[in-house]
Amino acid sequence: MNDASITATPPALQVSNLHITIERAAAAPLTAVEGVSFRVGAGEVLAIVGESGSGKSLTAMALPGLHQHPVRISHGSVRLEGVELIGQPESALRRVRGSRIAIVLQDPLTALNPVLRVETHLVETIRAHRAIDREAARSLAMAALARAGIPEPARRLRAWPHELSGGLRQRVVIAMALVNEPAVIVADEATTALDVTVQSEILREVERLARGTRTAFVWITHDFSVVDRIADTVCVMYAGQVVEQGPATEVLAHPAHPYTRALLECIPIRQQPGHRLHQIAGSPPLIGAWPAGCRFAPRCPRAVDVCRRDPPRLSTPDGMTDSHAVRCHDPVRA
Amino acid sequence: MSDTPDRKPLIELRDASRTFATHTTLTLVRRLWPAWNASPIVQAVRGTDLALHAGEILGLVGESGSGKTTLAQLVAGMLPLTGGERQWLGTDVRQLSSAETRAVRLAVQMVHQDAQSALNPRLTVETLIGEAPVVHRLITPAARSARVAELLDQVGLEPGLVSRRPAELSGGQRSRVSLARALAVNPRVLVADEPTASLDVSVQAQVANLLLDLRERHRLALLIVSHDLALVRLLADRLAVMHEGRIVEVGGRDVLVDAAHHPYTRALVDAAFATRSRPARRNAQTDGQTDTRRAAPILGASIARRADAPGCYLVERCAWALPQCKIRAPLLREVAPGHLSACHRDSMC
Ligand SMILES: Nc1ncnc2c1ncn2[C@@H]1O[C@H](COP(=O)(O)OP(=O)(O)OP(=O)(O)O)[C@@H](O)[C@H]1O
Ligand SMILES: Nc1ncnc2c1ncn2[C@@H]1O[C@H](COP(=O)(O)OP(=O)(O)OP(=O)(O)O)[C@@H](O)[C@H]1O
Ligand code: SF4
Ligand SMILES: [Mg+2]
Ligand SMILES: [Mg+2]
Repeated sequence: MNDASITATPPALQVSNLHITIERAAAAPLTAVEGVSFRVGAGEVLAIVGESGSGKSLTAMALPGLHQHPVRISHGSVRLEGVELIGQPESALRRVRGSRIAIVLQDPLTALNPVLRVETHLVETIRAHRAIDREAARSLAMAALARAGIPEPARRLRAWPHELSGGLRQRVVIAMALVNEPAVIVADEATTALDVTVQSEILREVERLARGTRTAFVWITHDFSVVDRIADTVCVMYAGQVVEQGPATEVLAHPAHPYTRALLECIPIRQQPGHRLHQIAGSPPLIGAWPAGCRFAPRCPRAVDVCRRDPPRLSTPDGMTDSHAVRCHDPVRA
Repeated sequence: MSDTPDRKPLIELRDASRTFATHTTLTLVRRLWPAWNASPIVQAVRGTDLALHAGEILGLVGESGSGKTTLAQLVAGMLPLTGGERQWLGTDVRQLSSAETRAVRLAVQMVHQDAQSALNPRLTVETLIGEAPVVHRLITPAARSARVAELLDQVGLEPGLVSRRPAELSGGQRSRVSLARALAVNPRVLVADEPTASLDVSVQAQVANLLLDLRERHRLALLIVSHDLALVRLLADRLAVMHEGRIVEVGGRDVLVDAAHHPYTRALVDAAFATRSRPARRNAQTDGQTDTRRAAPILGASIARRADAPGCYLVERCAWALPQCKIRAPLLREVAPGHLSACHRDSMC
């Protein structure tokens, strides 16, 4: 596990040029995610936002190697605390999963086994990585449930998944991710099913973990108020690519990509009741049927000929912060 | 609760309750080990009235675990009531003939909170959406593909998705397939449980606009369960707020957002419409405080409370509590025309 190129402390998670394809029986594979790169330092929160179907969940699943056939990582690198994960055997991945990197899946039901009680889920997660007895594991489990905002954790330990409301299930899965204090937590729409008061408690726990145990977070969400509250940096995805990334404050206040701008205009809180809601005209392209030039061009109000011909590259236009990059021939200036 | 008394609601629940017996309520076990009585029956919905008229959109919001999904399933007829009555156009559904019952079942459709588990993983999108309307003879088999394509387009999905199975879809694509499936049989009532939760804000707006159109064109009645108060406010005519199995406040959407009576509603509104800004978070990092800038009427998360404990179920957490809140449970009563609230403070305003 030595790597001569690493001198300083490596970031908690470094993803470089990740490509994810979907294999097909009788045809060439489809590229679903193309060239995603980001880094998250210890104690930092990276938010991934973007179009529904743009590849956020595929990316999230691929980080701890949880993707399954026909999904495949065709290219790129995922380094967890400096250690390359791509190409590692399943046994090695299983050791880091749940202990160094944990994931909260978008569909909480799939993460819970219907024939196991909440207690079993948590205790097994703990005991898979730590040599402690059931009683000790049980009290850790209870503490994790409480930290995930579950009232009456002792009673909920005995519950079966189907007895819990959507939001409670969601919090059980969050507790499973927290319980071993991993270096990186990947959360895919982890708070979408939760009401604002519970959501606020969980976000407070995220802030506490980021500051206290220096946990790094990759937080996938559609909710910009969540991004505003917890994210240090943000990646905006559209049609399998990152179209804008940079410091969260800057991207939210001065979105440079026309897609980011259009998306921000659709936020419900910015709209008036009694009218039709603002939406982006047209629909996103399907994977495998990307437009030739810029993938947003068919829906972009700024599109010109070059946009329909040449794919724009992710770059930092003059006058913008170094860490802020945008994939557009004609980015919006602040 | 009806603002137009001359018109019968399509669907109405009267004093509806739903309890769940958990595993620990097995009689024998309880007799042998009385301590297990401590976690007896879950009262998910308690004595609740709700009416839905044609062309009306009612938004149901509330804390997680407050019983929204259960109430939605009672309205949709997906779950039997354990108390009270469900009516279709003023008739108790138990009195309907079997043909009428079938018709009601088709007329009332539900979109489930968990799209993943609600869709049969073996079926393609084409079958998932197109099968029911053919079976129920709403369209001919020959018209199926065209109808599926039309529905996909309405919910903002590419027709190219028809041959995919649920596992091959993103979360937001799956939830829109569920919606298209419910709409395929031309329902008169649609009960949608968190229909926009996993959608990006643009697709969210598109789905919201579709629902508004359907209400306009077909006088569809909608019950929308959502934790996103900002979004349901844009959609709904009236809002109902649920807490601990009961509706604690109901009224016009603007009244509930601008002039809520109930402290729990006030807490929800504050949290949903608080403008969080970057500087607040930076301060939070230095002084460890986030939300204490404003005085929240409700403090902390929901806590365990015995079902038979007297008084208001919020009394331990409510900054507005009065002496009588510990003694008597407040009843839902009219505080203004069409606006009901269940709080002892109401009688003092
Ligand atoms: N097994 C699969 N076979 C074919 N296509 C797939 C498969 N899994 C995912 N896809 C497609 O890949 C794209 C990206 O999916 P992904 O789940 O990553 O989207 P997402 O950004 O998480 O969207 P959402 O916000 O709706 O959850 C989608 O268009 C989806 O339909
Ligand atoms: N089948 C069941 N068996 C036992 N308890 C149940 C069952 N279904 C629901 N409950 C309980 O009933 C209560 C209400 O659940 P419900 O799913 O209606 O909540 P909800 O308001 O939809 O919450 P969320 O916003 O989290 O989805 C919860 O305490 C839940 O644990
Ligand atoms: S490259 Fe052109 S089409 Fe693409 S986002 Fe920029 S302006 Fe719009
Ligand atoms: Mg997803
Ligand atoms: Mg629910």
